[in-house]
Amino acid sequence: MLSSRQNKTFARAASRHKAEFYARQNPAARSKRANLWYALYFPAFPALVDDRHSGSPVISLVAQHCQQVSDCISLDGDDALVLEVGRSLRYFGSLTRIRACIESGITAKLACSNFFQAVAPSASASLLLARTGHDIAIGKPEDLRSRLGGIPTSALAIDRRIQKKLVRCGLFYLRDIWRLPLAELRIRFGRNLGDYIEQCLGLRPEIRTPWQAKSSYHDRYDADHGLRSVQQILYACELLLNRLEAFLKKNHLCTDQLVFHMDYAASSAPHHHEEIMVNIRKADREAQLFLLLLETQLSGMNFPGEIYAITLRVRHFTDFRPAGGFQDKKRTQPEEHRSQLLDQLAAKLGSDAVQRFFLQQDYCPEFSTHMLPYLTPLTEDKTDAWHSAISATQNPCWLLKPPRPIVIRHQQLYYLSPLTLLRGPRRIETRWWEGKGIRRDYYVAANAQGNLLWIYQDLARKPETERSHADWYLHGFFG
Amino acid sequence: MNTTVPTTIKATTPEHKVEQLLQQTQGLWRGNSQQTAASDTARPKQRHSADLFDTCSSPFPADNTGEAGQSTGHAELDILLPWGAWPQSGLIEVINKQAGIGELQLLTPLLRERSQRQSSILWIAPPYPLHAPALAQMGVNIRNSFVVPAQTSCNQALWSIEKALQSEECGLVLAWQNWLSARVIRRLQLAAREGNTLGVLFHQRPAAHSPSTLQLQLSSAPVSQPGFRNMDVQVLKARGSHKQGRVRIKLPC
Repeated sequence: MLSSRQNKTFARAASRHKAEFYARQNPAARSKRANLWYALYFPAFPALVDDRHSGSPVISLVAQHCQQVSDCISLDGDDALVLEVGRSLRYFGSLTRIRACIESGITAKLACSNFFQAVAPSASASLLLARTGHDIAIGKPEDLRSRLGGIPTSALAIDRRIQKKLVRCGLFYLRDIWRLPLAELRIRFGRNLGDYIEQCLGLRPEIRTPWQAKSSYHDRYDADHGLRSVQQILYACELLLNRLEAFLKKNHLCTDQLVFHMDYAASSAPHHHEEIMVNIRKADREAQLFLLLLETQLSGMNFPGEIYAITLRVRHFTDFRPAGGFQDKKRTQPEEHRSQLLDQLAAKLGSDAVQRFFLQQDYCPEFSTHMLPYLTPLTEDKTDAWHSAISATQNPCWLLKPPRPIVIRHQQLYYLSPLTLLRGPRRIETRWWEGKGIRRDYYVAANAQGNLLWIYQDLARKPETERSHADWYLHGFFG
Repeated sequence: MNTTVPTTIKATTPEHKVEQLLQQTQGLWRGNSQQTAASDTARPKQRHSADLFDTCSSPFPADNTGEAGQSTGHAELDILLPWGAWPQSGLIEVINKQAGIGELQLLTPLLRERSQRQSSILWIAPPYPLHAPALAQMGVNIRNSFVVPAQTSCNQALWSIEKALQSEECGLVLAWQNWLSARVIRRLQLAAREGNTLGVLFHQRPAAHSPSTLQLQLSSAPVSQPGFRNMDVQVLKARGSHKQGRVRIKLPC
């Protein structure tokens, strides 16, 4: 927070900047844009992560609030940001009002008073001032040299090795650097330092990544009378989904996850809520598809009371790509088929109940196949693994997890009837680097029932002399 | 898959006995197919066009009886089926009391062909966990294969089978159930017709008067040659044909 003396400094800087701004209204000076950068630095922020916003840093909340002042905002790490306020001065009237607006928001939203703020004609200079704890406002670029002179070179946002090099050369403060010719400095300490110094002094334009707020959608339906039946709930949800579809089409977006928040009243307690999440594999924007999946999910649910409000929230958005576009044509892989059926099955059975195969290159059969939820996309690497994992040897279609011990009767392996070994052994020896190594001899065996079995003798458990018949296991069937 | 055992259609059922009797009776009026039938008797076993009902219009025109489907990979089984291959759509019932006697091996050409399409293959409640490297080795595109595990309850599994059969996204549905009534099979058959999808239903006991497109009973047979296993495939019912028969096919092991 600023003292009254600093308030006056802010006001003076703003009035000077404003005067310059109006002076530039003549056609000759109009081409030059009057930039004024407002930097905010929060020393306590890096440790804080906002859980409410899916792990995004708290600085995003500050940026969100600062959108009331300017739409040109750029983050500088997780603890500082800078916003251009030169163009907002006319609307707010003075820099003091801008500061009051920003401070009130931060205090109200984050209850945080430990922050530094500085204003300067260049973004780098304002950030440097804020990060070094200088709560000052500089209106004219000509003042930058004198006001920045007292800042130590160790505080510059440059490579640490260059900082040490500067100190070793006796350049402890920026004022020491001002004494040197910039061209020579560039030769001795590299281009980056020269560019940075020029950016701080406003002599070189800088490119900053603009911050954009994460899109989110929120809509609510309040029922006049309690909703009892599924049909009534679906009617309300259809209204919400139609509005969502219009929003998505307007913004050229689509989504793969919707969250319905159902508020209902039960006899035990007046306020209950239930969340229904609708996931689809490929992002879409059709209200009818979402409605179908929601209907499937609702068919298995029972609300003990009447629903009086439904809230629809969407936080995951992706850009809409029409089918057959340039990017589709560029794809080397065959296009993934539509997945409305799978989405519907997952909505009814649960997303984990619809699975897809994932092959992993592993000699041990039980580790070579993983079943993943169908929503998991197969990446390029996984596809490569899929191709390379297919070995030349014959494998059974069914694999028992875990393997079943085989009974021995009259000195013969027995599964429903005595077994005859047809092929083998095929040795699999792997995972010796782990404590529990695998050493098995696999055989193909048949019984009188016509089953073709994949059995193995476990060699890892005991030495050869102590090996017994109890080490035989059934691991799969050739379907 | 190649088989070396010659075709042996056992005329054990009453329908076959009637058919044999009709074939032996010369001068019997055979409708418009008389000429064809006469010529076919000269070339026996090439194709079963001597069938009395061949030229009759099928009572089930929506079953794609005219479309050529995927060959079974076994010539003798192709001959026995009225389509000369697996049906293009509909419901195939596979009855085998013991899982793992070669039922998937029998379907390998069908699985391979269907998995290469854009549509997906859905495995519903398989009796044991599937081993993906083996499927990939068989030529099945496992990127298009999805599994609903066996832990799913019976009614949810049936719901999934029906939805999958109704959907055009699914090229082939393979489902395992212990037993299903004719009423349930009828419903699934209608779903398959609606979605123009092929479903294979594995179960242990045949339902009486099953309305499925094709009903097969599988049983293992004694091994006659090392490196191969034998399996008897009995056609209990095939839509569009009155024939029943049994063939013994050889599967490499």
